Amino acid sequence: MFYPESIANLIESFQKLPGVGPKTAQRLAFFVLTLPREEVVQMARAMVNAKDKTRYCRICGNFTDSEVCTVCADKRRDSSVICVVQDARDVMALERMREFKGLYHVLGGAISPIDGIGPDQLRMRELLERLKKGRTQEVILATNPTVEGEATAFYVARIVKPLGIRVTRLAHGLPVGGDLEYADEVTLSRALEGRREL
Amino acid sequence: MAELRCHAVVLRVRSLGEADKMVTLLTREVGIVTAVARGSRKTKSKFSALVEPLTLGRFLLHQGRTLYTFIQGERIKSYAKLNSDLERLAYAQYFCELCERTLLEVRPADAMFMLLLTALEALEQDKDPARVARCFEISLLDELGIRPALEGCRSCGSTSGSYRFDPTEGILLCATCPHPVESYPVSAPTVATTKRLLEFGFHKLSVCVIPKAVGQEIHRISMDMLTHSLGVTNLKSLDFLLKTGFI
Repeated sequence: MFYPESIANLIESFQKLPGVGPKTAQRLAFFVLTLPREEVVQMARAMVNAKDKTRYCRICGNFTDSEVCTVCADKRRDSSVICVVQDARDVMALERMREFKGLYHVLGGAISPIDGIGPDQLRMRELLERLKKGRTQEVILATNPTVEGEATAFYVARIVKPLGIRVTRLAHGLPVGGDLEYADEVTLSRALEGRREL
Repeated sequence: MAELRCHAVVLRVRSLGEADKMVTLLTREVGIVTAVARGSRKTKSKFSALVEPLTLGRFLLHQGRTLYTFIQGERIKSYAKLNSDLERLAYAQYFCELCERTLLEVRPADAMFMLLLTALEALEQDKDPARVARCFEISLLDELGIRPALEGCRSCGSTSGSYRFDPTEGILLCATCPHPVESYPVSAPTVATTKRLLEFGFHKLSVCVIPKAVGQEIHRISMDMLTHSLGVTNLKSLDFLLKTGFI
């Protein structure tokens, strides 16, 4: 490369980000050079701060900057319902809905034999311990509607049901605003299976 | 614009960028193909259900310089029933990984395609997924042209007595004949069952009884042959099966 060492290092660092190739990394690096110094310092501090302060919630495994996340710390939430999700980002997606008032449990992934990910690599044991200790009445399985997500949901259901806790799964069906004509057969058949009386 | 119309089974799916998926397909027409399904992680995408692992479909792909891109597709069958049983799902993904790792050339893969479909069908119906797996492994060796020679000792021609299996050559040797260090003893029932699997494949599998010890020996023979002949090692799905105690 013909760049000064400092710029070459910056480009190389940006290339470590997901989905960023050499061209994009160059563009980002040159954009950073055009920013005022304070903004660059602020950006760098935000990254370091997030890395230093963010950790997993002791109870649910969600991201937090204290020992327990805001959801678990909120006494107004219904602790009898736990929604099991694959990823902390799924908690954010469900929270945007503002309708769910229960608690969460983040598994940290999904069972995937082809990638060598089994139940032991996920937060399954923590979920079981939490269920045995608490007064949970319902577990909602909100894993992704993919092969891995489905397999994980079936696995969790199999280990939770013997505890006498109600296990439910998020409904599958047509997206709001979608056109029936363009829906695929799998989605349509699932939507038909899960139809409700009006 | 170069296009590929193909029948294919989705072997593996990886996330790519913000909303895309990188999909590995076993096509009947050209073997293993990697294609990008743009936007398929979005809920409204027409591809999201089509490009799920263990889906059989008809696809129209655009051939780019390095990768294919999905243009259209139609689902023929989904083996989604396997999702509810972790052992069966793990075996199905093991078959997919074996196909992905052993089919290296771009060429029609009619036999391999049919073998995978037959194995997935059997996995949905057969009571014993381990038996299906042993049959798949042995049939795969046959399709790949590395069928083990089990008609007696290759050195002296003897057809009775105890044998050792030499995975470097894929042959049987008498316990008394000179044998390489890599060879190991195999039982007579293992030899007989492997020959039966090679002869009948999935046709008479439902009446074929494979005791656990025999199954383990057949699995060892298959994996050693794949390692020595094609350098296949470190299969993640196989590690999963071993760790979970399914093998």
